[in-house]
Amino acid sequence: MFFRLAYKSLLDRKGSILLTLLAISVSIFVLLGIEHIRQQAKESFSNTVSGTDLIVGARTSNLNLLLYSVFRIGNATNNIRWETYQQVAGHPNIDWTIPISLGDSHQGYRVMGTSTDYFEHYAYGAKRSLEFNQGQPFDGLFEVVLGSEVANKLEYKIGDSLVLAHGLGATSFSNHEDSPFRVIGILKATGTPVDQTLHVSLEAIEAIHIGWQQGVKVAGAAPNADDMDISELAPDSITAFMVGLTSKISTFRVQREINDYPHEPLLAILPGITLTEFWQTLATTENTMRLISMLVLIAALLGLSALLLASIRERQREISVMRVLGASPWFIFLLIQIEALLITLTASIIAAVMLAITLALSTDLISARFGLHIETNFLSETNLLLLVFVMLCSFIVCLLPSITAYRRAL
Amino acid sequence: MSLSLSNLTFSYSPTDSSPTLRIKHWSLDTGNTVFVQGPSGSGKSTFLNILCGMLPATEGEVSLFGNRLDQMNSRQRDQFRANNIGYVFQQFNLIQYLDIIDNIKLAQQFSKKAASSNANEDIEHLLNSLNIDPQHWHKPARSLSIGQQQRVAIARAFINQPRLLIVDEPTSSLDHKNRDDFMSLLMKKVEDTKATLIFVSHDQTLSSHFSRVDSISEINDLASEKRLESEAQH
Repeated sequence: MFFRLAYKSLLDRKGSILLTLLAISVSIFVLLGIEHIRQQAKESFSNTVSGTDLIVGARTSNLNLLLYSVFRIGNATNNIRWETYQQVAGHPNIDWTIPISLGDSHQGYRVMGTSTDYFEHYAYGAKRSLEFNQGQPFDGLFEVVLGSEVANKLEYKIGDSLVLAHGLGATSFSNHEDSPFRVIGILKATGTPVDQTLHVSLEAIEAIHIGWQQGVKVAGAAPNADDMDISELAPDSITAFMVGLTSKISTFRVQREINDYPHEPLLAILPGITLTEFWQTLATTENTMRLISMLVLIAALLGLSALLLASIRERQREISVMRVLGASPWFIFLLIQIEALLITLTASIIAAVMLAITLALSTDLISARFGLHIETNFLSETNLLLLVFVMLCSFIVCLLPSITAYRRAL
Repeated sequence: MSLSLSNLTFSYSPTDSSPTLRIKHWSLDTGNTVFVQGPSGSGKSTFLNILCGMLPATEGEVSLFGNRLDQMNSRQRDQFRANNIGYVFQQFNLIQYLDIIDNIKLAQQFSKKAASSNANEDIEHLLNSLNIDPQHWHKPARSLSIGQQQRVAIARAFINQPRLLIVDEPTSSLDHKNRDDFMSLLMKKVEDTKATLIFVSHDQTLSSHFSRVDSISEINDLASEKRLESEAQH
């Protein structure tokens, strides 16, 4: 009866209630959305690379190197010479290396030239290695291994052939049409940018660029797969490489040696530390966003409080009637609080539904644009606590109208 | 003696040196019906509010059917009111957004007697006995005419089988015909249930229905003092 009373009373004022309800819904939507994306981005970023001790590239900012080599965001400022790579890779403390060569794409997904070491040593999350859903690592020249999302979205199967585009971008006018690739393997989903990557050998990257000058195809100079000898396709340069060390203790020493490499300006970073630095630079932005979303919520709740307060005067008769029927002033107090709670609860549900829809529609876009894997299920413990916090705010903010009602009931 | 007030004073704030109400003694026997008349501002609503326990007496004794209201806390008084007192206002007796049934259920809700398993039957029976058309039962109160609303107010006042019924200017917003309907329904119901009735009105013509007629200025010593004062000045 209590809830029924509150519900009917709200229904009776649905016009003004509806607007306030929407305002609160939007504010909770913003609050939940920001919080969820923040958590997910952090998780997704930190899960993307593990087990790699150093990432080496041409000298640039730490962050830039990390972003383009691991997250496929942005571009390299320069390449590293192949000889340099081989020299560094021969360092006694270095256990393994994964060369990376970027620059081409396929329907908006980036193509990465690498070696088969990649499938062996690259790890993500809690040091999980890459696994094949179907097929195997590339072996021949024009063979490609697809990330799970590339295979799913573009509906490729083992044995299909595809053509890479020169440069980046979803639609490219200069394609490497003369050198089609055959799908040889498809990786299992990882929730990292690996899912959005096409992996080919370094030699293949070289091969498809034979007969290209200054980024433009030269007529009549097309290569023929049969004519090419893999051993002659040693690359001149690569974009970056990942390093695994024999012992963690030597990390900083090897890093310094690489940074001091005399023949070419190189930069070696520790991915974990760079990520932490990245979060620190983002902390201010993050906190500002949270603060703003909190303020938006409080503004909306104050609106609710004002609405309820204004209604108390009109409801003086109603309060007297309930009192004379035996309702205590506390009943009146609780009635107003329950009304506020019902509104906030409904708003939370609306916000949750809006967020679910928004996430369902935008996760693909976010993962394609930013390489971030955003979980669509946002009902984590933290977010549920956040909703409890919202209810608590609603209770506190609506103390004013409910205490007013209580006092009028005396 | 069912209702009695003795040596009672009431003032709205404890620091107020001039009380609103002072009653040396007033009483009413169980089952009696009393017509109370008095100009507004004579302490009439304060008197009713003290009787039903909405306001606590500042000093003195308030005894209803052997229960000392002045010795109860506010929660106990609220509960006592829900169980034992039916109240009808001048108008707007009903929660406007609830339908008839819910309005009456609300009154049941506050009473401890509500536990009865055939609560719904009780309501239907009561509404039928007051000639309230079943097609209105599920309509929100605001869609009813004032006459209909006042009849539902009687139904609600009786749902918990109150021992005391307080009716405050119930007919002042009704036309002649509705007023007569209201009075006959009310008096019949009071007779059936043997409830004690306190009826406040300006309308002297209604006083013939009652076994006793009191004037608030006789009940409230302060009102008679004021009157004497003003008479003395003239």
